[in-house]
Amino acid sequence: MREGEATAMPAAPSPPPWVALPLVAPFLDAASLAAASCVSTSWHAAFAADYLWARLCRSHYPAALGLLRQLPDSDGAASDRQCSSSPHRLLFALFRSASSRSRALPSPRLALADVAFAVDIFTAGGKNILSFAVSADEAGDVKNADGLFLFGVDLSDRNAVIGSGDWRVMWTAVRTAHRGIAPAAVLMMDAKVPAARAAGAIRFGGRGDAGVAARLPAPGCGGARLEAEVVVELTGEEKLVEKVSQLKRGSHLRETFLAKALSILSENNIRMLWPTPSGVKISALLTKLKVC
Amino acid sequence: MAAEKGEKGAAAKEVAGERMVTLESSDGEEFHMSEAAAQLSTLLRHVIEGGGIDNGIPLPKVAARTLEKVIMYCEKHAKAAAKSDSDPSAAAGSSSDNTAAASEDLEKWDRKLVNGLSQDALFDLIVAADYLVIDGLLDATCRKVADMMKGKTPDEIRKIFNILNDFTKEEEEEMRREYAWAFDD
Repeated sequence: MREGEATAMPAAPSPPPWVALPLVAPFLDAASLAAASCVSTSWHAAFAADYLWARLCRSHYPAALGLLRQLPDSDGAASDRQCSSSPHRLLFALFRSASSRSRALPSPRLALADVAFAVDIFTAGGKNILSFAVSADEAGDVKNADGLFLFGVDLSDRNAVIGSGDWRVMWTAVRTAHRGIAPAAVLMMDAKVPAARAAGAIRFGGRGDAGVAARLPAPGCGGARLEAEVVVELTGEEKLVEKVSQLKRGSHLRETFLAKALSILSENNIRMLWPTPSGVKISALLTKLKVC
Repeated sequence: MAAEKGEKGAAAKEVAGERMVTLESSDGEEFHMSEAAAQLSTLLRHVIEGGGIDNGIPLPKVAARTLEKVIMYCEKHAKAAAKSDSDPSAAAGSSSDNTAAASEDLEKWDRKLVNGLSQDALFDLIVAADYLVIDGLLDATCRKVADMMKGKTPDEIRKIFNILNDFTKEEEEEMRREYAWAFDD
């Protein structure tokens, strides 16, 4: 119950002055912003502004911003004009829907060039440590041996500083523009590395590691089982992780593995190697997809 | 000690050791606030630095009942800042417990202030805080409105804030399509 200022309670409050709306907008979460945009034409003018969605992208899915150019409007629908005027809202919607797609993974017919990976690393408090997006076929070195499909991303120029405390790693796979089919996204992993487990593993001059396992649903697909492991390697000044050597295989095989990876994920594991006290560099991110 | 709040209708005072400024609301009421408190408003700070405030500062955009709340906020926060500045253990840098508790108390005070406002008063305060450029007050008031909207459907928002739905049927359908993803869960 609010204590009113006047002695008599007014019948209904006046609608808010329009100037106040853009002031409130930055404080809204995505659902509230969406609801506010649907209230009236003047509220839509205030709350549907793309910069507000850009802000939400920056705080929730910063890696997604790297894919802005790879997600053109889909053909057809009359709402295209609206869509092209709010690219960040579309981007946010895509990544938000990625987690519900984990329950209904997209069809496995994919070429590497149509897939991108977006990775975000946050502290438990929500502060963004590192984000990047990379097209699967451009992603560093690819190794395919003994059923392992690896790719690496060299982030040694990023110099992100990572402290102790809980981490959160979000890894989203995106099917980008593909012959007129709308983009789709799948949340591959959204997992936490608890500080307690990590702390015990830090050794001076060496590398520590902490592990966390997250299970994703495993829709059946012909009996093959896949494991996914993401390794983030953090090095001190002395040691730079060598890039994974490249073994060329037929692209068909790569596509098959990748396709299977995206449609069957039974378990994924994150191993985090802790920084040495001398310095932190994230030098490589490897994803191992193993067919068992 | 300085006056806690501005006093209406009194002549400008200079309380020992504390300079006061006179403000005039849009409806002609006179208020006094300490200069230290006025510094929390970037606008007032610039006006004061620019000099020429002997006859008081007119604020044609801020009504009396809103200005009263503004002054309450500024005096409270100026006093809290002064207290932490003069805290002897602050120099030693080891009073983190005290400062944490103090800022928590201040936050509680802010919440109590905004919770006690009618909706109209709340929005007037938002507009005033924006005009006077008082970041902390703008923050607290906008957060309150955001909380009021959280988890609500468009129709619920319309009811709370008394907004007329002026979309056409076609426009509403389009809105529903565009934003369906945000409401699913």
